[in-house]
Amino acid sequence: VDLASDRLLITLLQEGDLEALGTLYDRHRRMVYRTALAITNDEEAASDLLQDVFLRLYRFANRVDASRPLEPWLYRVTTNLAYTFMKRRKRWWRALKDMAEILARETKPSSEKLAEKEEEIDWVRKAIASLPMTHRVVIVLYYANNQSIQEISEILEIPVGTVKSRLYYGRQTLKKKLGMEKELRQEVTYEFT
Amino acid sequence: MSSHDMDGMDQWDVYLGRSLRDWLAQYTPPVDGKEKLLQHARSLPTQPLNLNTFLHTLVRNVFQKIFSFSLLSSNYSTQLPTVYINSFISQSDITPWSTELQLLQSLTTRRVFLFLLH
Repeated sequence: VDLASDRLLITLLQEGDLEALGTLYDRHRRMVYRTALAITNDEEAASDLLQDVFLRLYRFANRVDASRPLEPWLYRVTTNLAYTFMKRRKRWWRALKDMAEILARETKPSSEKLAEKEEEIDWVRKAIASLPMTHRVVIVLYYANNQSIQEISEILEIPVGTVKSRLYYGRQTLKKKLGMEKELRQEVTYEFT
Repeated sequence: MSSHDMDGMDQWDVYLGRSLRDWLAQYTPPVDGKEKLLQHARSLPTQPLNLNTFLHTLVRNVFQKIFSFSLLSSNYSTQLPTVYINSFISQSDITPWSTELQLLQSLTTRRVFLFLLH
């Protein structure tokens, strides 16, 4: 990411330049969208959050410090909005959507290798979604966005020790789930061979 | 890009990171997102909306309505904030998620009237 031109774009945006907003959107939309998707596990919500994040950037451009990198600000707003969204979403709706997804997936034909890959990805998706929100956000920023513990601490405005602890417990939970998943797979293999 | 700095990083972490990124790489934001964003941004007020601006707009647009209603109604003190503020919001282009709106909705009738008299 070109930090120098991000700075210039923020300055232009603070003057109300919509073209600058469009350029910043093009530059960071994937990162924002995928972070929101990893936290919410919901494509529609990720699209809405993407819009919300950049609308906030436009509305509150004057509060953004142009001398600092923009990415941490975007991460902070994305995780905060995703967190609020998750809190508000009703449980029944989530269960219903998961069911619809499973039904839709079952009808899709795929090769063996592709199916294996899909299975692996599906495991990660489900495992991440099963984590408590506080752990999930840290795991996503660390593993998907490659942010350091120090950077996550600054983004979420929490102490380094808290980041480490959430990362540790999130990681342990995921590892345990992976172990169980592997055992299940082996059992299925034995049954059919 | 930062380097990972957690103690005990192993192959499993590499696997987790790769799988997570593989999953997310399958998705791209909607193609019409930029157009929608710019359209929405154009429709927003040029200055950030704050509580004072919002209340002044409210006064300018609905003061007469509120006043006549308050004179006619016997229980205006409980009805006024929610009924008229919500009605105003639904007819305006103010986005329902704004912090200012949430603040305003939490104001008591007494505070709204104190403001109007100010």
